[in-house]
Amino acid sequence: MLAFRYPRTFEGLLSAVFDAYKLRSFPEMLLEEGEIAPLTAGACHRVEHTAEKSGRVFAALQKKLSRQGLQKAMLVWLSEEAGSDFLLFSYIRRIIDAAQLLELDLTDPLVLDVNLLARKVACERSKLLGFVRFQKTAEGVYFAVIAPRHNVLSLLLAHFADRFAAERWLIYDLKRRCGVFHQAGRFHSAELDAPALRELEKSGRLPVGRLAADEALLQEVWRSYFKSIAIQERRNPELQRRLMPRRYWKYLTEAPNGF
Amino acid sequence: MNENTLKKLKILAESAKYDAACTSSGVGRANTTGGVGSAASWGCCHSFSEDGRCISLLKVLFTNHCIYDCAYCVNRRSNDLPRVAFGVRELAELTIEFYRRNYIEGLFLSSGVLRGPDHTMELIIRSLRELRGALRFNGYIHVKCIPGADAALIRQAGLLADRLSVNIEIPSEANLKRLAPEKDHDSVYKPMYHICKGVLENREERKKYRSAPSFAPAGQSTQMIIGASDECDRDILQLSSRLYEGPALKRVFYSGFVPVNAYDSRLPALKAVPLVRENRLYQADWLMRFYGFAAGEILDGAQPNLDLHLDPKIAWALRHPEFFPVDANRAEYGAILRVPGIGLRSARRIVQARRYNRVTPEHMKRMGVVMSRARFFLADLAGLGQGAWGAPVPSGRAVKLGNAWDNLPGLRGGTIQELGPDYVRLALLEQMKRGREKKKAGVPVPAQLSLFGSGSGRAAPTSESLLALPV
Ligand code: SF4
Repeated sequence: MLAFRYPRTFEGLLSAVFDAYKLRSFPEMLLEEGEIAPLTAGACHRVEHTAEKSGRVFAALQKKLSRQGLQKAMLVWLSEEAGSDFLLFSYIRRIIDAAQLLELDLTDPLVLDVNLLARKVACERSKLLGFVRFQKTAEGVYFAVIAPRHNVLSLLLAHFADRFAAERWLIYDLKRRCGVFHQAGRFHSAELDAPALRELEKSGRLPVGRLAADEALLQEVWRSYFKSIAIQERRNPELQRRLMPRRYWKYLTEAPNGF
Repeated sequence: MNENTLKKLKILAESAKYDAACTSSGVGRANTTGGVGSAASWGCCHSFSEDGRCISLLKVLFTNHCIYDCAYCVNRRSNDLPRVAFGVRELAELTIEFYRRNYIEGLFLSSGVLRGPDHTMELIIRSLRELRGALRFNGYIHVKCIPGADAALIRQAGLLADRLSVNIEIPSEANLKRLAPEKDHDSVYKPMYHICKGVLENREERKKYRSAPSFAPAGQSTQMIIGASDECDRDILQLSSRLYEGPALKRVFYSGFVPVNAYDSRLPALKAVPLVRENRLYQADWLMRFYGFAAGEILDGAQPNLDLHLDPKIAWALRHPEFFPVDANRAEYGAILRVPGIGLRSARRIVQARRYNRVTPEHMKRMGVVMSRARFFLADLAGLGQGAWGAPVPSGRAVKLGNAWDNLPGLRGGTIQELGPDYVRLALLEQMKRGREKKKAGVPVPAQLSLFGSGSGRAAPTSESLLALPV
């Protein structure tokens, strides 16, 4: 079983596609750099990524996919689901080989799979646009933690940069240990110190000592609003959980304490 | 911001919570991402309260003082409640602080009547000015206009808000007058008319001058209380349908009556909030707005009320067996939309896919069609057995789709034409019952494998234009 080992980036995957066409042999398995090969793996080709290679594949894709189609491919990449890289690889191959425009043909299993997975990722992003909660820190930075199933942090930035253009804010993905800091229209990657990380792991919140003076009160006001706005005669926690799955609660200001 | 604000907010949110309308849908304003695509027009939910309703806006009353005495309302003057009012600045600051933390999409402001409709409307407008002007708030604002307020004030509010609404509350005028002696249809429909006029004039103005300020760009909405008076569903849907014919009305909300003033004998003695009825009305409303159904089709002369056991689309299908079976590979989009179990998205997918290839039941299932329902209404399913299901399907038997329904004793295959509406009705009801039982039994969900600890995630593509998704 031929395997390709490629660097773990979207562009790296495109380089892998390039190599496959160059070698005229297509892998049956993709391995990320550093990943241990399963016993079934046979020969292994190591993909050297270059901007030239990935650029040419990207250009080919641009000819065959609409902008939306390209975005879907990217969403599949960011899904981080097991096997999604191979799905994407096969899809790209299918698109490049197709004589006519293929991306709307949902009777093609690959096209349908890509569409369904892309939709899942887009849905989680939409959810998070609402569920991100900023806490104001003592330094005046608005700070939020997320831990999404799919790697959607990069998909949130434009929205918040537009909405909170004047603010300094930071969104940190606790699951992937990376954050983005925004200031005056620019993004910087951000890291957190160990004590803050520990606290976030534990409670999902920043320690009170790190918050701005009024922040605790404001959060209290929001929690109280959240409670008051529910109509007790219509209580329906099951519906609430379906629309707002538990896995998001840890980072929601309004979720009951100790979650 | 202090403890006092907290207390006030508690009271003024409690008094506002019965208003159903809380979507921030409509248009993006200048400073927020002007998203195209359908998601933008659904609004953004920031949280869901314990009753499962979406929290999108900070929904409060400016004050719960009220000189009126509407029977169905907690804030009526006969009730002995703590009464408070926000300060103009206080409310504006609270909104901004919530907005900055991404708790909300904006403000939904309503009010009890303080002194008179005009005075109250002025207070609301002052709050909006503070918010838009002094604090330069660009988020979404929905204002509920006070019935009977002056046209000039409504005009001013419309220039500051994204959406205006005037609540009809009680569908018929006789009942409205009986339950809310200070109100009549005139006091509701006049402001609605002014809003509509304002929106239309503004559209023309903005065609000429692009920079003209916009007037309620997200249009207007209204609400009816369900079950506080004796109007039937047909009356309610006919009224909604007439309202939707107008150019500016975007949404009608239905709010199941919560019996807050049990002492008032003019109100029916409800044991519980009519949630199922409310839900059916929303489904019917949906059918009118997106599925091309007319109000008269959903409920015809013989039927005053919606079937509480079946959704109105299935109910229609059962009354019209002659319309089926529909051939998903040939029928037009509108006909596919009428098949129970097929929604807007799956209908779109089918129509898109069939340009390339024959769409099989298996395709449809993966596209999101609820085949266990749709099977009675689609043509040409059994014939596809061999290719699609791997095993030949005995003629005259339905395709097995692997759900609980397949184990139903006495199952007969076929379409509604062959089986008759009564049989299909029973089968669908049984199927739903089993679905509910299965859910109650709590079928365990397999645990999700965690990516935790595997180091950093996949790097995003470097192309920035790709990352800019519509909202
Ligand atoms: S006018 Fe409004 S707030 Fe006042 S009693 Fe009637 S419904 Fe309630």
